[in-house]
Amino acid sequence: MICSKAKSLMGPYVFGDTSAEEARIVRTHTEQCSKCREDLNERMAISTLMDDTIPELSEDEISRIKWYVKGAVSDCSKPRQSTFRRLLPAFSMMLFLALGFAFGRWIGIEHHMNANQSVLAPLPTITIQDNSNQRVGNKKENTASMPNKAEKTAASSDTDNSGTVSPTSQDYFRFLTNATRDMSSLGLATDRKGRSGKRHRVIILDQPLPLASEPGANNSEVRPDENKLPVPTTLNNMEKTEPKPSN
Amino acid sequence: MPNDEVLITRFQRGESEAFDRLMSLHASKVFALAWGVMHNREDAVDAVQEVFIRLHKALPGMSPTDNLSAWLYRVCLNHCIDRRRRHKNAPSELTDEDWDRLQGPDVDQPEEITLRMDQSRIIRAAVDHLPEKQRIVFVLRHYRLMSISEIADALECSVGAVKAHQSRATANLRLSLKGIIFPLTTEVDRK
Repeated sequence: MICSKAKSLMGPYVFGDTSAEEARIVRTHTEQCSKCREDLNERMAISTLMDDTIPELSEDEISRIKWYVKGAVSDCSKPRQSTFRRLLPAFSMMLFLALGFAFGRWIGIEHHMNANQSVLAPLPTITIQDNSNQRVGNKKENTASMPNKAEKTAASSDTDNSGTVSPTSQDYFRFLTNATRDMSSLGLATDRKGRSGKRHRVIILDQPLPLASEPGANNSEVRPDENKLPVPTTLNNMEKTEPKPSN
Repeated sequence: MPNDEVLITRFQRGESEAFDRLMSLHASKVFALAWGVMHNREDAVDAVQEVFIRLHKALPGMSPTDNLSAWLYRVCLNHCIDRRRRHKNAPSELTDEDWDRLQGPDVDQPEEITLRMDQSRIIRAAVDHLPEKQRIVFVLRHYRLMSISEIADALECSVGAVKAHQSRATANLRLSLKGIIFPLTTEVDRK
């Protein structure tokens, strides 16, 4: 018996995996060969010295394993949502934000355009004539509603014998109220409080208002709260505030 | 107590509790196999989970007469081998540093080393350093986890090849432990 044959059987022999014949061969050879006997003893010692106890799973660990496996299995069995469905909420939110932004921009542009329009609109020259065809004012206003007012005025005004349309005091009042409000927004008019406590809207003019009766007047204060505004000839009756001479 | 065949049939009929019973029946054995190969408790638990997830997928197409234990062990063994290959630096109870020290200048003082370390841990560390198939065969047979024919089936090799791995494993271990557990000099007959 050669040693190599016995050595090849020693591994299975240690674990009891040899046949009866193979086991007999190993035993017979190791009784005769001291080197192989030593080899077999040490191989047997390895298996003997090595702890053969295996840790066991605790009940808690088994429960956790079951819980994990069930969770993983239920995730796999769920029908997978399509990409579109998964991203639908995000798309909806983005669309909503985009629409909101566009609407906000549109509102802003409209407001801006209206503001520009009010500033850049061609200023109509309004000439108001009284019965004596006297030119009483040349006001440049920026209100877009003025032509309509003029039409209304024409419709509701008295017509004298010469065919000249003479606006009523109500028309003047509306016109001046609108005009001064717009001028106030443009910085051409300002509100001041008079001595009597009444509020006056003062129109600031770069050029003197060419009133027929008082040419060269620097400033004129118009009281829009007067119910009865006289016809242009009676503009002279409007209270004028002369700038106080500075001391 | 219902056996695997009954439980597989019940699962295939839609009784999910049958799968729960199968897990209870086989979890400990699969864990033992995984721990034997991985030698790490957490990795072994992970392996058990993975094996049962695969079992749940495979059960609908499985024949009730199939050997479920053999299937579980084979899947578990392959999973553990793959995992160890992917994590070559798998945590071991004995670090490489310890192992180098064991094979270093102290090898002529086996008693001292043995005093410092438990013999079982030393042997287990040596087992962990064996070539893959030798290690698997040694562990599976040492812990009596699988029979030699089952190992041959799982490793897709012959019974003779498994026996050869056994012989090489024990021979390599003996050489590794020379001077650590076994004396370097030839031992006289201990009769």
